[in-house]
Amino acid sequence: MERVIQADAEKTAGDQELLGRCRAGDETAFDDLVRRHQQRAFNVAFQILRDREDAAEVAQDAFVRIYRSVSDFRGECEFTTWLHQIVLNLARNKHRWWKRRGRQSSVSLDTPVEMADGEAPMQMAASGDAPDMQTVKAEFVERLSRKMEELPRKFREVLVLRNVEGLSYEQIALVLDCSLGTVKSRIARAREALRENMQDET
Amino acid sequence: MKDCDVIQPELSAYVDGELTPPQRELIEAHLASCPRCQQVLAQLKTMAAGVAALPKLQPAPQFLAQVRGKISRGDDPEALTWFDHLFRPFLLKVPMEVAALVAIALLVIQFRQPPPAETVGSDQVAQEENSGNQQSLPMETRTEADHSAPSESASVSPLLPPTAAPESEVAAAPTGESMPSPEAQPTTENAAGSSENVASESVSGNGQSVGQQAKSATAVGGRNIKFTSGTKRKVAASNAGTNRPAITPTPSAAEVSLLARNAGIDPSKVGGVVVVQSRNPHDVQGRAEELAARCNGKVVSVSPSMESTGQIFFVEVPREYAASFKLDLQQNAVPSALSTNRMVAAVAAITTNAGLLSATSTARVIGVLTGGVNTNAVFNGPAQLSLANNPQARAVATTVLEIFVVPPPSLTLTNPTPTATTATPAH
Repeated sequence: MERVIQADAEKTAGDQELLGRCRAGDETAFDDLVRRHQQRAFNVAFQILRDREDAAEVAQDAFVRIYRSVSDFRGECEFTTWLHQIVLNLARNKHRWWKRRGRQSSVSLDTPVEMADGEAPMQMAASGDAPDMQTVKAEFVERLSRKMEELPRKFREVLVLRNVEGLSYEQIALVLDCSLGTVKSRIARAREALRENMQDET
Repeated sequence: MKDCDVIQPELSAYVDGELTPPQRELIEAHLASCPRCQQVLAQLKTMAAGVAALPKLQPAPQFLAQVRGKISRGDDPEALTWFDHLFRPFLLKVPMEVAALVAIALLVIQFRQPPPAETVGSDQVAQEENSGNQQSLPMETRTEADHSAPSESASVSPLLPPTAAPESEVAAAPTGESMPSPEAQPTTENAAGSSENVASESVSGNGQSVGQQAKSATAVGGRNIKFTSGTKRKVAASNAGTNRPAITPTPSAAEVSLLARNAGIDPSKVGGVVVVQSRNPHDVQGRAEELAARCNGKVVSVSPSMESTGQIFFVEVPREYAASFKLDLQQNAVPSALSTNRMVAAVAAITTNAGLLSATSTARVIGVLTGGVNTNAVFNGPAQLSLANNPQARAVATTVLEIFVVPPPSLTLTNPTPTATTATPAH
């Protein structure tokens, strides 16, 4: 656990340094920042939207926005918190829009990831994300992935931030701009809903 | 049991290590003696592990390049979202050239009556015959087809489609005389007041007779509309009786910029163009004003009426409302707005016909969809409907349409299309 915290600290320091260079007009620093966090942004967006194209667009737009406002970012929070906020906001807009338009099928919520475009294949999460957690079978994960899609977006958000991104409750509260209590109860309800959904099927 | 009700809501936080030591001890003490809660805990842990094990996707290798592209193009995430949203039904990606989304140029196309009759010529270059020489279009970048658009004539934009065979290049010969045959309009119901501003144009050629059958549809072109000028074709415009619908392209971004500047609006603030077809621009202006007022915006400038392109309103709305403003305006423009599918099918029909018609020589294509953005077109031939469901054509078509088009409600088309079509059977 301590090792993880230390790694996080190093990462944060690296982000701050890159941000500093960005502000000073170093374009390569921005590129580094994108490379460093593109997968994170893309994955979070994908877990919320469940559509590769939308996710890629949201993630790219998030970096465009960061590029534009990097001089305004004074480091009041970690860079990743800021990134998460932007990605989530853009994803919500997109999600909301499609909801209003009644799109269902094309969001492909029911299909896992399509590889038709020949893009990089799906990769399983590296083990060791959660040392104290039991390993789960691929089949189970696939089923859970479908069940996640049935959850309300708010529930998906907290679960992704917590378990995919590994954020603490406090960090999640910062990203979502809500209280610690809200985060705690929302995660509890989200997991409970997921647990029930999974039981329904079995 | 009562303990379980208290304990269980805390179990998730327990799993995440987010409880204080005293809380944790409390939980553990209960767990030691409660198999039920132990089971719930195990399940919650499994859920957490399952979410953590969700597949991780790699962004495409060109991710950074795409971010860079958006930055250098000045794309605005919000604006992009709007364009993407607006055109998503057509599977389109429209590049956004403007950064800020503050003012919206609203182009109102006044619908004109479909032509009573016309013929299409082939393979001969038509001379231009302008009935009037008022070239008063503010949109200076119009093409040869447009520049001859006096108040009573239509602008036809001949386009050469990649799909159209060479012989489909059309010569539009001036007929001069008008041969209206109102009864011969099988596919068009002409409820529109036929009176004013009816654009006229006749093309003839190959000894084809004028005025047997005419189909018409509304026309709107994409923002980036370009007219093929390689084929030296000119469109004859005759005034008076033989009228056909104006084929009115949407102004390009550059043109909108120019208009904006003329109206004293910073062109960089212009975030998009909404095309609305209506027989009555005042209706549209009224609706625009109403909508704008609802979101603290206002109509800031109304161009003088332009005979062939309609009026352009510049509307200022707060950025965050821009997207909904545009959507509202378009969706509510016409109660009987076409469904996406119908529109796509309609476009498909046109695309199909381009090839078909030129191949069979039953008629000539005057203009077709080209290059992925242009939609100004005139088609001729009775086969228009038959291939509407051709999947291949549909596939092509869905990459072509750029501007959302709403035909006026009174225009009942068997084959509504977002492009201009005028069909004439060739003999």
